[in-house]
Amino acid sequence: MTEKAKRRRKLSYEILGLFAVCFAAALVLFFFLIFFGIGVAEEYCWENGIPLDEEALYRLDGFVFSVSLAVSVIFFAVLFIVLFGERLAYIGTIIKGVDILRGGEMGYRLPLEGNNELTALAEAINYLSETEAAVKARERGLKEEKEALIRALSHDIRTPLTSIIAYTELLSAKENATAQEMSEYFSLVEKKAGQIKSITEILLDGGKRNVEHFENARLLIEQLVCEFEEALEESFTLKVDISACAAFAGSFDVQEMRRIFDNLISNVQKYAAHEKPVELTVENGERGLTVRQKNAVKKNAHQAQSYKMGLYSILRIAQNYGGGAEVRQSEDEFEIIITLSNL
Amino acid sequence: MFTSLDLLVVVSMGIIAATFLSLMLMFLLKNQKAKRVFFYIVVALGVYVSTIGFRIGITGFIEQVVLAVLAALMSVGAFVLERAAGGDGKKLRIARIIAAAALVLGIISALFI
Repeated sequence: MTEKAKRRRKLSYEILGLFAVCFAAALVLFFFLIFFGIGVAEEYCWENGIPLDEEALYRLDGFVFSVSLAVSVIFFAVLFIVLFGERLAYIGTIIKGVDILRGGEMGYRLPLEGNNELTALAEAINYLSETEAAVKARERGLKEEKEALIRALSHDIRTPLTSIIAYTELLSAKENATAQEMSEYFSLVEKKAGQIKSITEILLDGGKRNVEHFENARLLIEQLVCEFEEALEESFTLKVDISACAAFAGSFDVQEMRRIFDNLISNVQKYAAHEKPVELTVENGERGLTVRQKNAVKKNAHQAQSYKMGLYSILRIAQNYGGGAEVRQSEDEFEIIITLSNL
Repeated sequence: MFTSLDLLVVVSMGIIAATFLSLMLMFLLKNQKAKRVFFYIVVALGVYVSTIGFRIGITGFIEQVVLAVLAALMSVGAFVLERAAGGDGKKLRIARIIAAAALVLGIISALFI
């Protein structure tokens, strides 16, 4: 129990105290009026030469007493009703506040007056509305996170699917595909289908990761860089440098790393200018693993929503490794620096 | 049938009761708007009882007249201070105390001298 709660006065005691004060004031007024009334009457009679015999005095005393009593009773009633009404008006304030909260304005807080049960009630209502607002905000946050995850994963499914469709169309257009081309096709379909399956599993499992430990993670990086080169070398001039990435041990979710590189490939294919080389640098150091990708931007390139989704997807994956993704963009150039720290 | 004495007693008791009531409510109420209303009632009562005291005293009782004029001036001063206070709690408290003192002084000049 808080200090304030311990010192809390009971409303009934407050009302009793109020009654006592009003009664005491009325009593003082009553006696004051009796002495004052008799004094005024005697003064008036003396000044006007009116004799006061016993009967007249008796009648006068009775009259003064009755009037004093009546005035004191009215005085007590008015004083008590006004002061008591002020206490009760707080109940009206609380009811009004509850109506406002019920109307959906969860930011409203009831004013706290006094230190009794009504104050405790107002504090409790404020606490409940704060808690509900916090719960609703958390729910909204979780819902937004879930939707963002679904959007990102859906976007990432599109990249391997696009590869399968493109290669299928290419082979369908060819009259006589060789056995090697068919073998490469099946290999690609198998790899990309595996990627789609992994991403679908993440979607169904609510974002569960499959982290593996690599004694020499440089081999994984080399594989991914190789796939990056294979996807882009026909259309772009590439400058790839992984010399600053020494052999190192680390834990990775392979599908996540693949998604990073797929998104980089996808963005280069859509928005990079062909005239200038596309750069990719991978290095590891104290900050962890850093992947830098830079390219010139096509003139009049309209960056669709999928571009933002791709970068968002990269950022979310980097955050899983305690890192981040920094984008530096101008009209002519694009650069992204991805840092993975907790390996 | 009420005599003039009865009426005098009733009216003077009523003024005293009204004075007591408005003074208590002006100081005991927490609501600022209500406090302001009773402040104006106290000021009005102070001016009223001062005029009673002045009218009685003008027939030859100089102390009564002086007290009545002083009470009236204090009531007006309290009102001016309250208007000029602009929400300053200290100035409002001083205005209320001056108004209360003016009313008490006015009652003394009207009914006790």
